[in-house]
Amino acid sequence: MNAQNRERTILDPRSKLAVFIAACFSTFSGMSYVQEFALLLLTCITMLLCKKWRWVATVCVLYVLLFLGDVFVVGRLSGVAQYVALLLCHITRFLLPLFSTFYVVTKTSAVGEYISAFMAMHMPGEVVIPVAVMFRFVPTVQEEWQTVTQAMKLRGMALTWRNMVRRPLFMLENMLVPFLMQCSLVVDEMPAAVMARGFDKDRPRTSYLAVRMRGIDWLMVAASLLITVWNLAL
Amino acid sequence: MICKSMRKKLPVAVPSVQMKQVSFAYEPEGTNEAPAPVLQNVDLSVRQGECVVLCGRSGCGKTTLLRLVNGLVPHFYQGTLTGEIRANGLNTAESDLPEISRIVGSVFQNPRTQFFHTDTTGEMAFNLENQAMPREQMQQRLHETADQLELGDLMDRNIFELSGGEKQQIACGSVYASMPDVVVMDEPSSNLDMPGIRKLQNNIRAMKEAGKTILISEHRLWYLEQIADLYLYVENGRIAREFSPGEIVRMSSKEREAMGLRAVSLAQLRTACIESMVEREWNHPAGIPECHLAGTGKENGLEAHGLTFSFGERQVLNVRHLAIPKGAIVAVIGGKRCGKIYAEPLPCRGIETSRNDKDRWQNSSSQKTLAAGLSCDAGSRTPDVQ
Amino acid sequence: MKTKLTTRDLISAGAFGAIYLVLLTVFSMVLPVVPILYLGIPLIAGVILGSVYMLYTLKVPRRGAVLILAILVGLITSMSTIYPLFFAILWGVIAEIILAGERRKSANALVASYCVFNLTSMGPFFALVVAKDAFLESCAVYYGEDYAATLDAMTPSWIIIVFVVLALLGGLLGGLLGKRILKKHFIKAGISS
Repeated sequence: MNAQNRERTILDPRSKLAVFIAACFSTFSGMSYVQEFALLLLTCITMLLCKKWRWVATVCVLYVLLFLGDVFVVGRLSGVAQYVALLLCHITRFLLPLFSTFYVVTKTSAVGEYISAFMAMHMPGEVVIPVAVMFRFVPTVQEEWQTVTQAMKLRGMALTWRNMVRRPLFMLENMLVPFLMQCSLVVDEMPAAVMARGFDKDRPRTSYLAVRMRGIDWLMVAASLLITVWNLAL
Repeated sequence: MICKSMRKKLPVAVPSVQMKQVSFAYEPEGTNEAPAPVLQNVDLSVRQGECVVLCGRSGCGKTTLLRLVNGLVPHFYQGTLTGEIRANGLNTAESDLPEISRIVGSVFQNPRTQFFHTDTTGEMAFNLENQAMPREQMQQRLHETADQLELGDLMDRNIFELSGGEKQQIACGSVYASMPDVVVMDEPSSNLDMPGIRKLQNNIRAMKEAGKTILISEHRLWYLEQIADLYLYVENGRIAREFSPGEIVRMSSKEREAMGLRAVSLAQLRTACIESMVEREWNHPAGIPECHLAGTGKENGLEAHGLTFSFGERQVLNVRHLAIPKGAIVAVIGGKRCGKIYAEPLPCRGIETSRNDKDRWQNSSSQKTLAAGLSCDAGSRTPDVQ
Repeated sequence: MKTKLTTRDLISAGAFGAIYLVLLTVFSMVLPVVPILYLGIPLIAGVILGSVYMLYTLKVPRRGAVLILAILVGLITSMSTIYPLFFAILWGVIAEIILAGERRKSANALVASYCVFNLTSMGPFFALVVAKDAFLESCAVYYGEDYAATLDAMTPSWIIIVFVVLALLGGLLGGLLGKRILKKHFIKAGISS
């Protein structure tokens, strides 16, 4: 059990975050093909270091397909077909590194690792705690929302465009209020539970997971920085 | 007043949990209301290693009593407090929550809201991290806890993938790992199915064997039959009565109902109590035996013939014949994944409705009792309705 | 009333941040289907998120709560460029100033502060203003030439003013709606004072 833990965290979560940020900035700044390749390479290396062999394979294959599609197929189509092909080849290709790094950041490191990492960096609790809670809370928000829409559907008030246009205020009130009420209850219970277990931002705490920036992490951060600067400058 | 003669003879020691003339009123919501007292002059004395069950109607004050022990009152929930509360000698009103949490561990009723991490191992280590325990010691403690509570295959998993019972196991594990002397549990079986309750029973037994003092507030009493040492009946903010396990089981069902208590033993739980029995087994993939309400002579409010429902290849419902008289309220129960969840929306809106609920229901895996009222008003929060 | 942000407040901030952002993200992904709705995000999001904001300020009536929410929103809307974060902090500070002192308890002050706060939902659009051509180019890449052309036609250089107006309007409507909803449902249920 403990060996598994150590094996999983070959990369410090902070370096994964660095790669993700690099991907964010680069994707939206307009990239030449070379820059795209570089970013994809960085992404793939990150995924390899996280032992996600299948992802790397899938992403690479997808990228090659989309690239070839873009170069050869799009030019020959027209109208709607071209639009669709453009959508696919261009946009998906663009977003591939972004999505893959997003997956790396969220699926390969637990929230606890990030909390430990940022607290080790002595970042103030005022920043770390809301962000950590936010990420932990998102699936819960989705669950609550689904429950409410479910219940509404059974009463004949499904969340469709037609219903929204016909009775907007009614829909709004009947969706929003139960949703907020549920969330309100959870928001009350969670801090109570957490604090009854001794959590206090002003008290020192240790961390179960060992988070430490090693050589490889610094390399990844440097590479991310390089790519970001390169993309933003050109 | 506590009558000490009713107690089992335990070794004499300093009381583990003690309350002297405790009264409490929560801070009022509006500005003009007077605070309504929730607890009035409560005296309580629990010995080390005892398992005490607080029972009573909703709103009688049991939860507040527990919150006094784990310190949420008055440190988290504000209000006016008089009297003294001590847990293992520590005055809870004068200490702060981190100090109290070293002595008192808490398990709450809603597994979904009480965890902080998204992975199980981090969650188990949470209490230990808060106590600033060195890492090697933490790893050892987690190892021991996982062994003693049989949590091995729950480690290193995503909490959102666990069932309610498994989440509650992790909660118990995280409390156990931090080795408090007192454990406080607020309706821990609320959101659990049968297997989940069995696991909870085992966890509580393990804690008791480890010598911890356990305070449990519960509506569902039968699963504590062999575990509790003492039952305290709370009414209107006072401890009205005290029962030993023998006494509470021997109580007549009329008296029990008058007090608002549910079945106290497994035997009482199994007593049939409905006049017109409707037996159903929605076994998947076998069909339902043809069966309708016997001798009621009423008109059928809902009738289904040859009703089937499948997701693609997988058939989940196969009802040859079902007849429910008007005005009847039928409970649909069953084990995991037997298809009962699909049955509930069907009578209300026809098959259309349930078709849209695909992704949602496929992950539901607990045994819950659903009331499919014929007024079709059963839409609220169906998986958690009890 | 204590003025320092406690751990409980920070957790509430994170939780409400999650609610606010999930809803905002849903809008930002669903609405761009139609170009006009894309531009209407500040308005529509403002109306709906108003209730979330009002509930939040009721639950955490401390100085700094709004600023933390603004920072959280700014962080997430800064996915493409960094500008939204700076502006979000700015709006957050202004909203805090509106709510300084005892005014925090006044419902009208809360509505006013939300008007300003809703400017954070304008975050993604700053690129449209600050670096219009590059943005349109990437838009063309994403949604096709026609979409970009429509967007171009609808966004003359004074569009920033339209956005601000829309956001403020959305904030006003959302705040008033939030106030009404809160009074009707939540105070009755005794969930918050």
